[in-house]
Amino acid sequence: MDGNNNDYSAFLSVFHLAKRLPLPAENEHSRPRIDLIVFLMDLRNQHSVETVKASLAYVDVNYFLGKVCFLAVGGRAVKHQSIEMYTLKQLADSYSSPLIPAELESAERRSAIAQRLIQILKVAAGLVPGVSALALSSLITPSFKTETQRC
Amino acid sequence: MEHLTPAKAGMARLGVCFANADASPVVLRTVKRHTPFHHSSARRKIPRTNLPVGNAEQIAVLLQKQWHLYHVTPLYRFSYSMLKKYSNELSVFIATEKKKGMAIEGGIELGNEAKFSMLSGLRATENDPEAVFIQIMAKTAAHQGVDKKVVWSGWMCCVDGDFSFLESLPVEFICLPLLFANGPDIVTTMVGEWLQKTFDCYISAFPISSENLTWMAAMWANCFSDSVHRMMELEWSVPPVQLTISLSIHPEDAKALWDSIHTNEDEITIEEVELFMSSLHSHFYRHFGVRLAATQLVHVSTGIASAHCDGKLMLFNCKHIDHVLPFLTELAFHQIQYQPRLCSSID
Repeated sequence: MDGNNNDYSAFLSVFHLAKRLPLPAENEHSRPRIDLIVFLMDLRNQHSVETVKASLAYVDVNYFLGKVCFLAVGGRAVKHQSIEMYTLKQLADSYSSPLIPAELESAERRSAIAQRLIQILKVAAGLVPGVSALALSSLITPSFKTETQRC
Repeated sequence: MEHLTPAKAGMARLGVCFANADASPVVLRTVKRHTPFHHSSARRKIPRTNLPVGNAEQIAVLLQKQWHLYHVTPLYRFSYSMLKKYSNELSVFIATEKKKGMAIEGGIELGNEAKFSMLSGLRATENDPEAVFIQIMAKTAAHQGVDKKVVWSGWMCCVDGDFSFLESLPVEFICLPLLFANGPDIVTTMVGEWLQKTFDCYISAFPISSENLTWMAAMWANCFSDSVHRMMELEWSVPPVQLTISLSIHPEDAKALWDSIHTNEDEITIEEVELFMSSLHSHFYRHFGVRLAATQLVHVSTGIASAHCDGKLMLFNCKHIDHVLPFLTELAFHQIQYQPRLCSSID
């Protein structure tokens, strides 16, 4: 509840899961507006990173102004990692979008990440007055950037 | 304080002051150390110089055994001249532990005599400390007289360590970041406890990531030699379905594939490694329909050495040790410098 007594807790959020982009063209007309795209990448699964990289080509440029978010899963166990977190950070930085490392193993971690994503979604959908998606993403993304070239 | 050139002094009068633009190497290094995600180097040199393998018989003891790999932080006040003293102390420690009844497990001999020795020749440059070999023996009464049986053996080494890090260590510290252990786990725990107590270090597990295993596969495919006849075996695991996929490749085929990718004589780049693995992946996908890119590589075995992601290593070839150890040392230094995350400790 904010100062104007508008109850924002009652907005409807629909989560659409897709294995890759582009989404099928048949449902184009009936699909509601997409406010936030979350790309899920697993550090243990190289194929997931390649799929995400291929799908990024199908995202409209305007989404990268704060409506795209990267989620990196599997960073805890060293021994099964095929990708480095650094590579994912480079990818996220090249698209100027935040990278959130997450652990989805336990229920409370899942709910914490879900809460965070819903907050980002509220801002991206324009439901929080005074904060735009671009402003939020520039607050989330730290000021240092990864070097553009691996040495 | 930076000294201002006349132009800068002029700007300073206007209230603007530019600091010295070129960051000194020390500052840059510490800045890099504190960025959260460090990346390993994209190119690695192929060791050209063979290790001065002084004692072939000593090195031969290291071969054909399954070593469990551990990580050791720098040792405080370790001296090569006190090896006899260390042997006695460790023997006493093991005897007291046995008396305490710490490790009662049927059928496992704990041994009662420890021996420290120096393993000369296992270093790449003058800056590396000499390797140390530890053996725990048990006196068994054989048919005639008393026989000594080796119950546990281990060695610590540092091959081609990071020069700037070794230089920055205070004088009292010696860095031997790799510990290889072969024998019962209980004895390993005891030796580890003694080392941690005596030298104020920390010993932790050393899991090897799938990415580093792919580097090893590429590096070992690179140094194929005619005397080596072992098949190259790679093993992937798919945890959700409890499935393990293993692939055997004839070493000549692996070498042929690698030669078609590898160009530069002196170093291996990450693009070559990734191309090597993705060609294997696509070959497998075309024949079996299984996408190996979605699985995790857990075991690599070639004629030179074999490595498992849990931190288990076997060395087969005395000549090619210098292709295995520097890479492991580099991984160990990487962990010390950039990821002092406390892995599950040895005890």
